[in-house]
Amino acid sequence: MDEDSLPLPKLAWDASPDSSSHGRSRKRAKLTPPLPSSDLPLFSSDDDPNLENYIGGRRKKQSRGTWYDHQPAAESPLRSSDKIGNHVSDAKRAFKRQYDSGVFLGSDGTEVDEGLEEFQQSVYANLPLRQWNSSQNSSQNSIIVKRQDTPEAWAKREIERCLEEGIEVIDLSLRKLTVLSNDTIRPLSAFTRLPPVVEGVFERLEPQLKIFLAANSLTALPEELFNIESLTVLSLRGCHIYEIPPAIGKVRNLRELNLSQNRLHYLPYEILALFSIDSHLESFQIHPNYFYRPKYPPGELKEPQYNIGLGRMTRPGRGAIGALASDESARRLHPQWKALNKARTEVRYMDIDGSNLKGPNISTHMYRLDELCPGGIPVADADDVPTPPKGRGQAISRVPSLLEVALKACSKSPDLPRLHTMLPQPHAPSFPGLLETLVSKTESGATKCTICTRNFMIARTEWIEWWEISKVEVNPSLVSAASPLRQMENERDVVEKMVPLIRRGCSWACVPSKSEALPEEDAMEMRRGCDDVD
Amino acid sequence: MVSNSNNGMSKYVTLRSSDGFEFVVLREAACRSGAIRRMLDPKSAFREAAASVCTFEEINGIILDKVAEYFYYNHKNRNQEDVPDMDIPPELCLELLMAADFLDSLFTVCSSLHC
Repeated sequence: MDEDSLPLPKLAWDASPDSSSHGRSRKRAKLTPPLPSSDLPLFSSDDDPNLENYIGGRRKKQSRGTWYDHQPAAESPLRSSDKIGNHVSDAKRAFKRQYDSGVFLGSDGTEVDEGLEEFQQSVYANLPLRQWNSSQNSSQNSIIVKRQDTPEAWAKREIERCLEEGIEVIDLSLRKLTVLSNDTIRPLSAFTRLPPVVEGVFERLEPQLKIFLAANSLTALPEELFNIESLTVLSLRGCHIYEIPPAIGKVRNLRELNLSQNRLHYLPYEILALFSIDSHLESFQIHPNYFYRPKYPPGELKEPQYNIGLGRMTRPGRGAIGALASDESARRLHPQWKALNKARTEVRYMDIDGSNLKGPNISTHMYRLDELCPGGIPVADADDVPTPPKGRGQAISRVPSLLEVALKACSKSPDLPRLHTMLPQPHAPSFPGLLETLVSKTESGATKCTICTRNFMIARTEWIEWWEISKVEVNPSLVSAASPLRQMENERDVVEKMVPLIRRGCSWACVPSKSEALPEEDAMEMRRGCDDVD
Repeated sequence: MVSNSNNGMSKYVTLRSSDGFEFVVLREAACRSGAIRRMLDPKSAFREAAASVCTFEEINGIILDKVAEYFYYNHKNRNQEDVPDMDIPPELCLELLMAADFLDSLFTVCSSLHC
């Protein structure tokens, strides 16, 4: 082999074993490396059928391996020839590591002893291949360590483990997770319980998954999480989530939901589906969060305190809401839950590219709520009729804009994450941002108009409704018997009962209808379908 | 320039693509686009207004075909409650996005204008 043809640095090759062993006693001094095999190595497997050949073949070994294996040798610091004088001590120190690294495999059948190893080290320690092999090993180790350190990869393995062993409790809490992709979660929807091995014992096989994601650094949630039909407990406590995807309305088997200690300003309107008759929610923890609070006009008896105590129940007309609602997300309520629409904000109108045109700024990324809207967001008047801003023509239709149509097509494109790089050069400055939101939107699930249930990419209207969501006491007499004061609610309880739910519309025609524009109307009907809109 | 209406404006306008394809569409439908509306505004001094022909150097025939289709889709569904989806092949989505930006196509109808 021609050494000059290799892109390798010159080697400080000292062929004499004595010069490097420094007269140290060697147990088998006579054991010199055998001559290299006279056979020309044709294949890589020709080289070392056993150790003798392995040693002898060392000379050839300089060029063995793939080209990229040799590349880091140039960077090896110990390779330079001026270090050859003291390399024995270096090599001695490095011995353990190399032994561990498995480069010099002392497998059974090899006659390796100390002297030989020493010889090996002294002669070969500064060979680039060798040096690099050890560095390669350490780098491989570091890669493995890094891989283990990625919280998402860990979560993936944990999910796989739970899947394989049929563990229903998936505890991913306190793992510094920052992202959780759909791919990680997707296998869970195929979760099956392991059937019991005891004969004659029958057990349900539908799993009841419990997913704990508490105390992570998640900011958004993947859609697949809500596609898990068997999800019964979901804890997202103490994450950094600022918005819950509307897809949450799909997990009808959910029994416990914990969203406390997040950065939520509002919940999706679709979450009301969890309180419907065919859902099973029992525990609903959402406080504390940065929820928007309704700001009533001063001097009106519409303050939340008004509802304190039994007054709420005795006021006429304030009945259970359970009777109606034709639209999909607000079917009959579960008898265990009570949800009443209390108030709403004015409608915010947005341009076709999503920029605000009119109305309260309900931005999702506001962090410190009190600085931006002290005291909460003003509640719309009882007789407020949403009026679209001027300047876009008079007639309003439900036809999506061409931009919306194009974005919808973009969202179906398999290249969506890369689309922003493919934009032709002179493009509108808002496009990269739009495509970015499109990516995160497809990740967290489709958004549907809460009025006409169309899928949309860019919301054109949005407003917040405050719903009083509370659990109906199953046995009120028992409670009052135990402590009569129990029915007195303090102010915080009342405030916390008011849950802001965001509703979004796909066109300017999708706004709250007239009847719903009366926020103080008691026993408010649930939102009716599109046909109510003028 | 298919027919002339009373006020001297044709009922149809012609949209011409960069590669020479021409689409004759209802003026009312085409005027859903803010850009086309301005181009065809009789009060403006644009050449397009006089000839009722809009030439788009940036938009090729395939895309303009979709744009014309959209105009009719919009026009047809303008008073519908339940608007069907319009299918766009994914490979056209970016170009259509650019065209949408150019045309500033709105879903609101310019009923007050001479369309």
